[in-house]
Amino acid sequence: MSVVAAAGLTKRFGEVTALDDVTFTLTGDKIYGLLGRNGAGKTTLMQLITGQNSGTSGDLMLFGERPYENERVLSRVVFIKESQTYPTAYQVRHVLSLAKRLFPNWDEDFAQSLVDDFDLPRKRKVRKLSRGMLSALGVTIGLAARAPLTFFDEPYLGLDAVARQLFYDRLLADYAENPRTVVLSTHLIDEVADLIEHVLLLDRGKLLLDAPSDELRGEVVEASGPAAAVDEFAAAHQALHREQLGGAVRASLRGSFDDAERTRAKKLGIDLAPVSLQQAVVRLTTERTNAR
Amino acid sequence: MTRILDVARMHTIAWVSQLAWPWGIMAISLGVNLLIFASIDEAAPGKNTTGGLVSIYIVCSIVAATSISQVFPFALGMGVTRRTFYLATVLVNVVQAVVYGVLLYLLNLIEGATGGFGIQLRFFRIPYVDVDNGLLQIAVYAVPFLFLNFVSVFVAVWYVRFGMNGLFGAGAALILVTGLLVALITWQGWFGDIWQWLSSQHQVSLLVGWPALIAAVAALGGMAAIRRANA
Repeated sequence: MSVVAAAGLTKRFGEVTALDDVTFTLTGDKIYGLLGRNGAGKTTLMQLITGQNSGTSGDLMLFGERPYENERVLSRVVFIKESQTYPTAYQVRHVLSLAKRLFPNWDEDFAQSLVDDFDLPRKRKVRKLSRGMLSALGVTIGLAARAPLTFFDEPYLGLDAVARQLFYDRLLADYAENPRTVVLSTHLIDEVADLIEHVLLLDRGKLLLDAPSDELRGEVVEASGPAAAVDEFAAAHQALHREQLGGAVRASLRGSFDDAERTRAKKLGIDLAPVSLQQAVVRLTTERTNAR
Repeated sequence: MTRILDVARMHTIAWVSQLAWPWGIMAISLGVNLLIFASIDEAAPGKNTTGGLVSIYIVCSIVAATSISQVFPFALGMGVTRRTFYLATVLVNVVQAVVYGVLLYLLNLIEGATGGFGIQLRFFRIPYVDVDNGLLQIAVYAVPFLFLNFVSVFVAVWYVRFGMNGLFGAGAALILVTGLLVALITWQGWFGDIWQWLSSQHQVSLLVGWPALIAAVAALGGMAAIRRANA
């Protein structure tokens, strides 16, 4: 059974269409990257899936049921978002103690070890935490909840590089031991590129891409060489980006690049280089923006 | 039910604001009243009544309203449904009203037994509100908590759902409707009849019955409004 199934999901806020006819399926035990620019609709999509808001039209199923006001399926989800607010009187230990009771799979030892790793002051008021500590608290809840479906919406704001690496390491280690479906929404694509198994790319409310990240990486290459040769080679593919420096051209191309294609490129004197996931995403989104 | 209790802990876990402030402020009010009335040489008979008790009701209703605006977004973020959150809120407010009613009744007994704290002060035994039946006295103390808290919970839910414009819009509409009603009543000369009706009501109806009814309506209204509210 699919973990999440969306069909024609649309959400409008007045004049703004935050999600436009989005259709996709999340299957179990995989790490997804929900990528896209600011305002692409990532947070809105996660809010709909977690029942924090309702869609304007279309169909959405979470563990086979509609999520809005559905305790049974919502208790199997944790949604860690950068914008989460906490009551003023709460201390860190209060939040942890409440989370422990609310998430059925909560692992208290794991939570306490994360609190130690992140140096979180247990008795400090949450509103007095620094931005980074607030993120660390969110990360702690998100990991220790061990929810079958875990959302992290920009969970790293204010976290330093060491703490971010700690988060990625702990996530990967715990995921290996307790497989579950994780959705990472992030701007720091390169940092999580090795974690992400499948990419969902949103652009202005539309789902631009829904593909395994390996496939996506293989699909986009950077070809550089003499202008004429590159242009001849590019004709058979979708050109996402082209920049010329004198007689040399560097172009980002999308298509399938099998051995035959690679040999052809070599003969033309073209150098084919793989691009990073981040570059692929940037090229794909800018190409679409330019086409508009 | 367990989940409702777990969510109810969201209201009580930081108990300082929930418990300490209402009682702390009431204690200060009592202390100040004791000082003032003790320093008056000869209080005229019947002039030793104070309304300081109202402070605990007001502080509690403020706590109830802020608990909606602060705890609701957190609860939603933790995967709690609006329905469970609201039922937990109702539970906390009802239990709190009963417990506070009992505590105030005990203070009422202490005030009676000590001769108004030695100076004939009537802080808890306010005339008309002071009844001779113990259970009824607890209800008389408890119901105003329900009344004020559920009305302020309803207002807070309305704010969470419809925002500042929704709140002021509803307020404006309320002022308009009440104003027109008062104008109509004055024009038709119905005030006498209304006063007659009020004074014919039994003490228990005025202190317990009608406020409890309004509290229940407000509680149901809050439930209806929160089901489509988003943090």
